[in-house]
This record gives sequence, structure tokens and C-alpha cells, in this order.
Amino acid sequence: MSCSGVSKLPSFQAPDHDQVEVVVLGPRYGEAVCVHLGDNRWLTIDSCLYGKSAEPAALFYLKQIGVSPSSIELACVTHWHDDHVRGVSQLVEEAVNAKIVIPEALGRQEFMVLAARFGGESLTGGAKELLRLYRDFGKDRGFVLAGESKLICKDSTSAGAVEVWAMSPSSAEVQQCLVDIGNMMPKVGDPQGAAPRKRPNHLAMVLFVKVGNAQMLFGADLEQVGSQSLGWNAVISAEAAKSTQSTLFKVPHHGSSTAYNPLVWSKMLSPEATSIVTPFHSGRSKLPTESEIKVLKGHTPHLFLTTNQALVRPKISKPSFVEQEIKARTVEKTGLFQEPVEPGLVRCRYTDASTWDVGLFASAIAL
Amino acid sequence: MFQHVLVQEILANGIESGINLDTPVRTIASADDVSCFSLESWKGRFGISASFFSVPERIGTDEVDSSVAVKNVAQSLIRPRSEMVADSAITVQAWEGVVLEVFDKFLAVKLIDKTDRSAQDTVAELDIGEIDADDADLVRPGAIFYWYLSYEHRPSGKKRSSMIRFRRTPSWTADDLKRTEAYANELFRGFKIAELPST
Repeated sequence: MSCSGVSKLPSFQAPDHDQVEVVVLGPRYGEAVCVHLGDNRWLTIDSCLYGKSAEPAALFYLKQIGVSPSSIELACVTHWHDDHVRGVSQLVEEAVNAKIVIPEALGRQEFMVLAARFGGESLTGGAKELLRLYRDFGKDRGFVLAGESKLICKDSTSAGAVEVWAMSPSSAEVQQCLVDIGNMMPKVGDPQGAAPRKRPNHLAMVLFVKVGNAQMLFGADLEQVGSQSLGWNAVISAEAAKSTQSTLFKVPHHGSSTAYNPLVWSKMLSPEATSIVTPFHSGRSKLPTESEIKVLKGHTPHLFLTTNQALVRPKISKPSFVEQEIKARTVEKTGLFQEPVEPGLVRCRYTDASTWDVGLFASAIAL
Repeated sequence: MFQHVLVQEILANGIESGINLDTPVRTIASADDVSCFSLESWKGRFGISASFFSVPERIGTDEVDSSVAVKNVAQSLIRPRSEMVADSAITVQAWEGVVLEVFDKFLAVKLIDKTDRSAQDTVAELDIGEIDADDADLVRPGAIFYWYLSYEHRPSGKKRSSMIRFRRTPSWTADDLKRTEAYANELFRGFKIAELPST
């Protein structure tokens, strides 16, 4: 049993200096994670914008609890998809002491060419955020290039000995990524615009964090691929994975079946690990589905969703002429919807009893 | 009819800054201020044919390749006559949109409200039948479009109109590819890699 209780908490409070805390924010498009390593030293993973504030979610949370962004020591970017990097350049700008951790392939010259070609045009492209990171911080900040079984950070705080490991991407994934980058490069005569979205997410950087006895696995968007040298198969067989037994799991790729590998649950996680899913909702793509939730619940009763998918998206109110026109031109006369105005977050604090005390804020729910 | 449009503005913002329904080409700077190019020979209010007299060599601190600039602007501005709207159209609602996903019968889109700048971004599922045949080849994830809802005053009376037009982005040229590669190489040369701790 790795979960000691669930409560709806009325307000945010900073963790104690020796308390490990994990906060997962997922407003139904994108996700961000904050990890307290002890002594007011923080690690962030990915970035999304949060609700009406339109502020990077990690900054939103840390400011709510009175923590300065300068307390962020590692700002990790697991991959370059838009829903995982929105606002990350702003986050890094304010996190003046943070090293930036990226998958090795994103530090290659080939990817920088891709970012330069697609980073200026799109309204929503992840290449734009990456290009800003290279342009504004590439010379002055340290970039950590991470990959399979690489130790990113080794230190100690009053919460215990700290180790942060990258579990992926594997060297085969980096090579595959470089091939993909080559295929994505525009040719003379191609229309300029946003970068094509590349699937599967085999480049994503999975992170394993250990602070004292608390072990945490953050699955990013890594998906399951047939090859033993790619995706979750590569992570499971990696040397660094053999000594892990995480009690907290950020479920990969929004709980989708394409990221599901039962061996992750049996080999890398403790039984009934506290598990958190960030939903994804774009157009008609909705993750996780009910059947995917059922599969995850087969592994743990401690499964949480950062934002309730059942929330009705508030409709936009416009003058009657505009509303009529919108209805006439949208599928099934669905009209326009705001993005969720009250995304939730899941907060987990490691207790003396080696369990996770889970707090659900706003529209976060237990599944 | 002459209007002057600063190249910088057009390059930065594409057609949106150059065209809106009430004043199809907005005057951003006069020809006396900076090197400008003029637009003339309007063929209908939105069917623009452009002639360019000069393009500045520099915009701020950035050098401008005049041939690329002219080409980009021309591709952005020259639009088919089908986009013509009535003289006295009043825009009630304008959005800038980006295509999130393309499905068989609809597009999942994100809309940024250009009428009410304080409004939150919204999402919608646009019926694919609303897309003009001229724009069909432009529809793809990441494509940018503009959606205007207007009243047109015609001799026959007031009429509602809806116009969705996709942004025509310029094509990549060999120079574009060379320039972006050189920029990326410059970024890479200055890229600072942090040391990893020993295991």
C-alpha cells in the first residue's frame, strides 16, 4: 500500500524542508510536474500553461506556495511536442539557477536546424519554444544532454540522498530520431508552416528520481514500440531500471494504450503504486479512454486524474448572430468551447510511513 | 488607390496585419517614414495585385534579403477574387485559427479571438464543408486561417456572411534553407553543455 490517504485541500502550503513532494498539473492539454528534492530545491518536468493565468503551470504552483522560481535547479524537457513545452522558455527565464535537461537528440545540430526552420512560424509548435531556449539560454546556461541510464544529478538534502536518472531515450532512439528529423526537413518548394507531428513518441525522456527512500518514475510520453531497443522495452531492459521500485508513477502519454507495457508495472513499480494520469483533450482525441482507465486500475487502486474529463466545457457566449453562425458551421452544431477554466492538480507528499499522502485540488479526481 | 504597408509588419504578421475587412490594407507607415512598398491595382477589395517599389535592406538590426521579402509579401497578399466582400461589410467577429487535427468530416481547431482580445482561446470542430475549395490544399495540422463573420449591406438588404480563409505561406527556397541552417549552426557553436555527475 503506497497511498495513505486522499483529501480535498482548501489551500496550497509549501512542503516542509525535509519533505519530498510531487505535484502534477495537467489541464487536459499538456502537463507539468514539480518535485521538491528537499531544502527548497526543486526540479520541474515539462511545461504547460495553466488555466486563466496562462502562466507556465510550474511557476503558477510554486508562486502559489511562496517559492521563488530561482529555487528550481533542474528544468527538464522530456520531448518537444507542443503540449509538453508550452511556456518552458518563460519558466527557464525566471528559473535563473536552473540547468536545462533535454534528451540528447535535441542537443544535436540536426535538431537545431529543424527548430530554426519550424520555430518561427507556427502558433503552437514545440519547435518555437525549443528555438527560444537555444537562442536565449544556449550560451549561458548549462544544457544537460540526457539519455538511457544517465545520472543527471547526485546530491543530498535534508530529505535524503538525491539521484535523478534519465532512463531514455536509448541510443537506438536517438539514431531513429535523427532519421526522423531528416525526413521532416522541408525541401525547396515545400510550403512553410508548422512542423509535422511525429509519432510515436519514442524520443521522450523518462526520468527516475530517488530522494531518500522515495522512488518516483515519470513516464513522459514514451510509447510502446515493437523493437526491443526502442520505447518502453528499451527502458525495462536498461541497467538502471533493475534497481528501481518506484512507489509513485506519472503514467506515460496520458494513460494511452499505446504507452502501456505491463512489465513496467511488474518490474519497475511497487505493487499498488500511486499513479497519476494527465488527460489529453484535443478535438475528438480524448485520453485516457474508459477501457484504458480500466487497464490501469487493474494495477493500482491509487489512480488519479489531474483534471476531470467529465467536466462540461463551458460554452462561449457571443451575440446571437455570431452564435447562430458558429452553430451552423461546427460539427453537430456544437459551437465553441472554452478550454477548461479550472484545471486541477494532484499533490503527493512522502510520509514517514513511506506512503504518499495525496491531495486533490480543484477538478482533480481519484479514479 | 494606393496604400503603404511597412514590410516589417507584413513579414512579421502575414496577411492579418495587411488585411482586415473594414480597411483591406491598413496604412501602417507612410512612404516618407521608411522604405516602403506600395500596393496598387486593386482588383476587388480583397483581390490584391501588388507592385513593389522598394524594400528596406534592414529591419531593425536584421538584414533583409529583398528578393525573399518581396516574394514572401507577394505570396501573402495576392489572393483570389473569390475573397471579395461587399463594400460596406461590418465585421462582427474575427478569429485567427490554427488547425489542431484533420479528420474526415471536420477540423479540430483552436481559435484566438481577434474581436475581444481579453477572451480566452477557444476550441471548435469546424465542418470540413465550410472550407473553400481554393484552400483545400492548405488544410493540415498547424495551418493558420482567419474566420470572419460580417454583415454586408447590399442594395437588396443586409446579409450575413462568413469567410474562412487559410493563410498562404511562402514556399521554402534554397536561400531560406541555407539561411536557417547557418543560423542553427551559429546556435550550435555557442551551445553550452553541462557536465554530468560521475556515477
